[in-house]
Amino acid sequence: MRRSLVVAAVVPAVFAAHVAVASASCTVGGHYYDGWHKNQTVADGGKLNAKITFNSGTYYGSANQTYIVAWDGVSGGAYWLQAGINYDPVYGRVLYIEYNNSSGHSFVSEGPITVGSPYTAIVQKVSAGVWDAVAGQHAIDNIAVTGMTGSDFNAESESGTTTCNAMNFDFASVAPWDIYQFDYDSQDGPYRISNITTYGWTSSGP
Amino acid sequence: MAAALPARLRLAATLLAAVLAIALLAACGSSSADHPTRRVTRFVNLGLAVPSGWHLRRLQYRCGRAGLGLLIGDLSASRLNRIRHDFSGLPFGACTTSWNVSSLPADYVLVDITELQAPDALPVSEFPLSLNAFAPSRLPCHCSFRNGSVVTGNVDYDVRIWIGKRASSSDRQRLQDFLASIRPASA
Repeated sequence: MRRSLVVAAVVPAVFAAHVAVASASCTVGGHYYDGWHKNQTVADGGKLNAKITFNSGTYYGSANQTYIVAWDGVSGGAYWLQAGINYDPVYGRVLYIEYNNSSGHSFVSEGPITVGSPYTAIVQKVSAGVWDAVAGQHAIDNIAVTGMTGSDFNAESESGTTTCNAMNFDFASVAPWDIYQFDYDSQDGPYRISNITTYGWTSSGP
Repeated sequence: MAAALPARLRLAATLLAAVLAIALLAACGSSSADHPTRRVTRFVNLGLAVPSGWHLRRLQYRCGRAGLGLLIGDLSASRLNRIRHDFSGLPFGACTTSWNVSSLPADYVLVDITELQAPDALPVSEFPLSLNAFAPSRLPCHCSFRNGSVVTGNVDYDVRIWIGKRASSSDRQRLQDFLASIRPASA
């Protein structure tokens, strides 16, 4: 078992160059596009599977709880699991697996990504309350998250400050695509979904 | 003999003063226990009152959706600061808000409040909070454990509560009082 105290140290200096000067005014909160299905029962072995490409993204504001992220995952309210691409001042642009359960919240960086390249993101139910997650070539097995009742493919920008972030992700090979609906929060728009196809879409903004 | 009497009186007076002082201190101590002095503090957009004898530890996570954290309990400051995160089952490169409480004494009470933006919208909390607002859950901690969410003003918090098997009724009451003291703070 590998362990680490990780992390935060590497950070601000390396990615300071990516932090842009604020030019827009946003309220605190999440801003996203998402294809979702709520109140869903997933059979053992059932999974969400997408190819996610990070095209571009820019920070505005401080490092605290600021991120741009695209993922697929499941949730049951306070407990959730997701896998995808994360871009924040601490880790930079990385594949990640993240979850919250009764023990607490955990975030696992699975290494840097290349802008413009598609990466696999999968969450798969093993049995009741047990899930596997895959980000790129990396996997975490048997993650305990109970009570999952909904699933998402989601691209979001979380400011956590008074300024908003920019993002451009492409989702492809989204499966199972047909059971999902679009939802979005445009409180800090203009965000938009484009290039909707049978297999995915592009989220961008602001 | 005439000189010895004042000396005895002085000794008696000193003893009486000492007894009175001890009695006064004991009385003050009792009063303090009945009406503990609480320290009011702020955490993100919450106000809360730290019970007398409890300590708190503030954290700044750089960990995905986790932001600021607060660990609070009836432990000494040094004991509280020695509690480490639990990386069991996590690979290299992970960060976590999970705590390893295995070394704590059996009479502890511990509360973790972490700013954690949930991917789904959670129901807004009603105040005052009580222990029953948090669901019991099983953890290998030789304790009673509860957890849940608190949501107010667009900020989501993940809350976890550990009650050691030998926590006193007084500590349990202070825990209830602490939870009831948590309120949305004015900007």
